[in-house]
Amino acid sequence: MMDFFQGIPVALQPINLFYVLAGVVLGNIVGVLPGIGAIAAISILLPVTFYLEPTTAVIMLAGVYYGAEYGGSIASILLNLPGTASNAITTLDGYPMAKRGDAGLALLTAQLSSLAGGTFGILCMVLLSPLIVRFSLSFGPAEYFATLFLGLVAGSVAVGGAPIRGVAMVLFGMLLGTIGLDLNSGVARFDMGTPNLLDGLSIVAVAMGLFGIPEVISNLGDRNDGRHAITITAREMFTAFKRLKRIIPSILRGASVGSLMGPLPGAGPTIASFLAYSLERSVGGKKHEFGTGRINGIAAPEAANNAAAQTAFIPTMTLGIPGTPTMAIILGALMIHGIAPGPQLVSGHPELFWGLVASFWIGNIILVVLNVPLIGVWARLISVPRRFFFPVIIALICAGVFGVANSTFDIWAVLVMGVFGTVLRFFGFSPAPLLVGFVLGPMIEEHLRRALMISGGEFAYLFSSPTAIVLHSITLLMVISPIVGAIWKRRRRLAQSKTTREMDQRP
Amino acid sequence: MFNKRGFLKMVVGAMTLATATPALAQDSFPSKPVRLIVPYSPGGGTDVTARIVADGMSKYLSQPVVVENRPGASGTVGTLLAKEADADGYNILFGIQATLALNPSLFTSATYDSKEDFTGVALLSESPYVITVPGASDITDYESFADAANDNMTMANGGSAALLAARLLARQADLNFTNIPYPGSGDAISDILAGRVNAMISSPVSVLPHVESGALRPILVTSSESYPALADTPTADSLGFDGFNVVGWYSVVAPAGVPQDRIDILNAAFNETLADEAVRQKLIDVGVTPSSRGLDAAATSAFIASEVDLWSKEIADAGIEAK
Repeated sequence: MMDFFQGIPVALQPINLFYVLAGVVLGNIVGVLPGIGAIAAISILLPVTFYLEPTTAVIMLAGVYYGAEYGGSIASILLNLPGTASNAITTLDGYPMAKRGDAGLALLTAQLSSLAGGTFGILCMVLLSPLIVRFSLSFGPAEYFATLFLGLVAGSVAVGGAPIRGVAMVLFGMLLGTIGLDLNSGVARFDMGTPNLLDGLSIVAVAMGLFGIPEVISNLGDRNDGRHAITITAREMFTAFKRLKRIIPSILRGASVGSLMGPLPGAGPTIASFLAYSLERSVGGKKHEFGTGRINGIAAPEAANNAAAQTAFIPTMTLGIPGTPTMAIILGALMIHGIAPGPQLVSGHPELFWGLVASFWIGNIILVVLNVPLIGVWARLISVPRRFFFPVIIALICAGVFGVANSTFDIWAVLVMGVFGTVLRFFGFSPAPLLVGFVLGPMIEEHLRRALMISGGEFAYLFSSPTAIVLHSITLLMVISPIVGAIWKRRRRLAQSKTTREMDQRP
Repeated sequence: MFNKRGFLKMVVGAMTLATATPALAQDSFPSKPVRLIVPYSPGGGTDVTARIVADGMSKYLSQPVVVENRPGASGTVGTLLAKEADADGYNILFGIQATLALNPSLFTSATYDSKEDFTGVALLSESPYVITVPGASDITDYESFADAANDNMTMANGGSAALLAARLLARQADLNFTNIPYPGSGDAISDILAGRVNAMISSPVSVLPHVESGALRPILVTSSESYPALADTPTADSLGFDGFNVVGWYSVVAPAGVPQDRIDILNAAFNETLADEAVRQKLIDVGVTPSSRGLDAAATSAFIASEVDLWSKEIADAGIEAK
């Protein structure tokens, strides 16, 4: 805790303040733009950081990373286009709110939940770092399998409409996820003979294809263009603040899920937001309102992905384990300066680690200060006739997808996924569970097979730790509770109708 | 702002410049930025190394060396791209053991012949692999390692090169452990730190901080010479496996057909860069051992050819078929 205070002066140095501002502003912008994510921006900035002090360099790159989580929600809510994959879930309730005229409230909720989630994550870093390191080290293949299984089940039953459709979409997503080289045997699966598919489909291409392109296509025929402008007055904002009181529990639940998921390598903000949303839907009450524009459905995932974006730095810095590709680039920036992330980083370079943590909070504050006054401006975007947006959106998506791996093949992949996504939308299937399956499918396969290899084929190994058992129990509960609930309701109805019939039969 | 005359002036000026450039190019290579294709994602160990070298090179070539990341398919995508690039010396490839010596024997999609399609420019580094065990493990030296290896040991590896090194050692030392593949050594670290796998084979750079903190214990390195940062760790050679020398290496190659004088200019620039003390220190800091052999272009080609032969034979002997 005391260490944290020695980081504040570092973060407040003018040069560091300047670069945290530059980082978060850039992150916010790339976050808003669909397709272009933090990873593209950070790769472009990497060479610039050679000429900066390591602390300053990491402060800026980190700012881009968590700044994108803020910006990403804006496009999700206003345009139904997730700015980044971890904001995809925010479209489920954010966009319906914007459609019925509550864009301002939705944006305010997203921004404040982001701030609260980010702050929660930073507090976890300051107070619980050693515990979190121990927690993430305790996660082996068995625990991962349990988490991912929970994620897949939650993705099918708790995200979007009918469970059977959800299951179908998750399974299809898992199938898409199998494309590419198999890690264990090196066999290429469904590669259609092109080396471009050996690493699988790009997640950016899938996310943008499924969410972005169908949104554009299905609105093309929409002649009723000029959606009435929304003006947000100070008084409305004030009443909005009052309504926000009831999202505090959602934020706390979301931020807790996010803080736990963030440090797990491979999991990160995307899984955190999915899990937080399904948890919220299960325990937050008024289940049927989710997906129709419920404010809690924005608060929980936005708090979760921002908390995760902060705690993800713990294993990156203290163990040298980058959880996501973006984190790997930030590690690279440190290594180029001759700083090896690892157990000695915090003791060897306290000014760097705590300076970075302190800068996180400054960056979070800057983001809210920037975005909240702009909510009125953002919300007005919705009244711009969409025909002006569409070419820009398509161009941005193509540029962003290309930027990830400099590959034109990925642009074609977006097109194919876009056509597929449009068909799905036409038949009323939600793309969110498909994305869940696509992200989690390859991971669950990897960890299941690794668990079985380590244990020599013992399935019992999957249930060998308390964490795994608790997680599997939650999954089981999630599956049976709706069934039990349905039976219980039917019994009661039967009993009721029986009594009414008996009453009828009375003379 | 612009009148007609001004515009014409600009056009004429631009045309003069355009005709002047080729004349210059005949005299001096390089006359424009050189593109260094790195077949891996930005920020990874390979990319960081490439950027340090590219940065240093620019000084000696008087032209920027621009890193272009073309990741995909374990490096195959970028390597194929370089094969197709113009053989004018302005397109060079960061070629590493996995992409040049292993992939053509492992993947049918790697449709290049490293000996035919590329010509060596310079050898940048050679580093061994190191086998580590958790600090809390009972294994303290090679002998206890060998005993444990034949008793259900699991060995993590973070890629095909490390896996093949492990297999080679297992065959020569008659050990029997189960190889557990991970996408990268970073992914394996938490499992080895927590002791869920018994041992790991990786490049030294990914484990050095943990060796220093005592969380991991090095058992042996796979090169015949000892590794400076792990000077106390025995080499496989010193343990009695004569001539056992498996190293990962980084090189720069060009598509076949680049004029020899250009290759020589590039080679000289790389070797000067590697002799630069500041660059050496930066490379050592990121865990790369800069090659001090100063190989010329022909010797680099010969080295790569010998590695291609060695590994295609080892892969065939191990009964692995290209997929």
